Amino acid sequence: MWARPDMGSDVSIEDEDRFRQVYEGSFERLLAYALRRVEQPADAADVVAETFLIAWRRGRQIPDGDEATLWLYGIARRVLANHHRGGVRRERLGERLRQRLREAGPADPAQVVSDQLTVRGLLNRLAEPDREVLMLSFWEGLEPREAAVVLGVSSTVARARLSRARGRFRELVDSSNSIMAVREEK
Amino acid sequence: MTGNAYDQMLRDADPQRTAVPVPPDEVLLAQILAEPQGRHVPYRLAVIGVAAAVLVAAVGVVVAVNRTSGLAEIPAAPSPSVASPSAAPSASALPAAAGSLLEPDQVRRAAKEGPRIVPAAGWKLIHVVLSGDRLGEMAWKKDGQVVDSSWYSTARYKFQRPAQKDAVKVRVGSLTGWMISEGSGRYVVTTEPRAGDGVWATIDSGSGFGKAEFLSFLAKARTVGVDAWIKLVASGLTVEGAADDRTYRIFIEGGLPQPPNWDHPAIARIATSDVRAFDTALTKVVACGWLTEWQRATAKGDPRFITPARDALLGSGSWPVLVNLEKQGSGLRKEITGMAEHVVNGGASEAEVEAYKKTLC
Repeated sequence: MWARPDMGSDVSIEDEDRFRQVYEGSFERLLAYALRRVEQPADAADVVAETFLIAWRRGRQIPDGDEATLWLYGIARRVLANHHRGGVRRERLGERLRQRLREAGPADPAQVVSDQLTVRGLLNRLAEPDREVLMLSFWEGLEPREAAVVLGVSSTVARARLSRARGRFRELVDSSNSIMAVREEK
Repeated sequence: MTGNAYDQMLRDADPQRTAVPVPPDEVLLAQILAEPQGRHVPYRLAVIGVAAAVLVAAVGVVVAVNRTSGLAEIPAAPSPSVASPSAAPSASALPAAAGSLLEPDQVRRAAKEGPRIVPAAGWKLIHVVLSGDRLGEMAWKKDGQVVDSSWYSTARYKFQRPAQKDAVKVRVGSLTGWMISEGSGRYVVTTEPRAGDGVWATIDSGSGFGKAEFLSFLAKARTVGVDAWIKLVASGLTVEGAADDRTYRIFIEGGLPQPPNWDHPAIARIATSDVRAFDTALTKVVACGWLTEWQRATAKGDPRFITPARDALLGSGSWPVLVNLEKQGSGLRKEITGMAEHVVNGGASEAEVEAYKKTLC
């Protein structure tokens, strides 16, 4: 194992190369995951920075292939939990990314059609497990097997939860006057 | 609207759907690579499944809704019972069972309230869970294909009834249902409310089924009486499926705090159909997970991780599964609470913590 003299640790070239690959391969998806779940885009930088830092520190625990992104989503869920609970930030790490996202700003309300906002409002009314499995499925585009990895449940439970969450979402849509009115106007 | 339309509505609502991709930030990568890699003891079971329900469930994950939209402020949904490790529910939340991981009361209720569908031979039952009054779900598996079924009370039927112009009428045993395509080889049948109690069910093919293949599955399925269904389920649920379901109930309904890095597939390695042995093995794995998390958190000195680990360990005396086991004569509750007290408050040495892990992990 090759030791990096500047770090005084036993980090190998293989570790670093592998992490770089995971970082390059998962960055956009992980950032999108975080952006979907925070109110201010700049906050997503904290989530992404913290998630990748945890992954780096866990080194060889990072799974291979596509599983790495699922594993990162799982870490990001915990980071988000802490973020929402305490607003803890790492002010130094990821400052440039934070600045880039801050400049981008939140989505222009005029660009978002009202039934999209209504649907997001309905999602907010679902219980967290139902909301999360729908978001993982339809926003992150995960199969139930993959969502199960992120949620830490079996594939069977994830499938059943998705099936039920779909049903609950339909109930909310069908009982939502505003969204039906929007549909009828089209 | 069809099921596809609802799904599309969800996809359309993705706030990142039309976002311009942000390429990987090289400065952040360089900053991270400059950080030392941790040398904490890796969690033995940590391969996949990093989600920590105990932490995540405590927080209503916020969907990025624009607050200027004029929508009413919607309060955060209540968290499930696992939200706080220190706020475990009463021991009565975990029904006692003996001789099988299936809980007799649950099976009887499922038999009475559910649609009592039995697929053709070869389909293995892998999941049976009651979720509420006349609300439950089950699943069958064969050669990698899984079919789910959920059942509901009449009150919910008006929300799920498919538009019949899009649906194909099917028979499932004594039940009449309407099948629609949800796209991607996924078909869903909604049965009409059953005469008498109004219970109705959905049968979801999952993806990858051919239409003819799923119609054949439905045609070969039958419905049976309460006693026959109980017999079939008692002998038919796979050990892995029963373990999955019991684990789910112990975590979600029994309030056992799930440690970070929880490796759900590890449950499959607890191969027993004895409830007491299973609960004992599962609780040891969970205690091991929290002990490992405590080691990791204290090594980092990070209170964000130390606090949940300390709360979970010191709260172990009120874990319903441990209280239940103690009532059955087990000494595991004393063993784990003694360990927790020694490790968290008693200044146990690293060697002593490792010795505890040897007995638990």
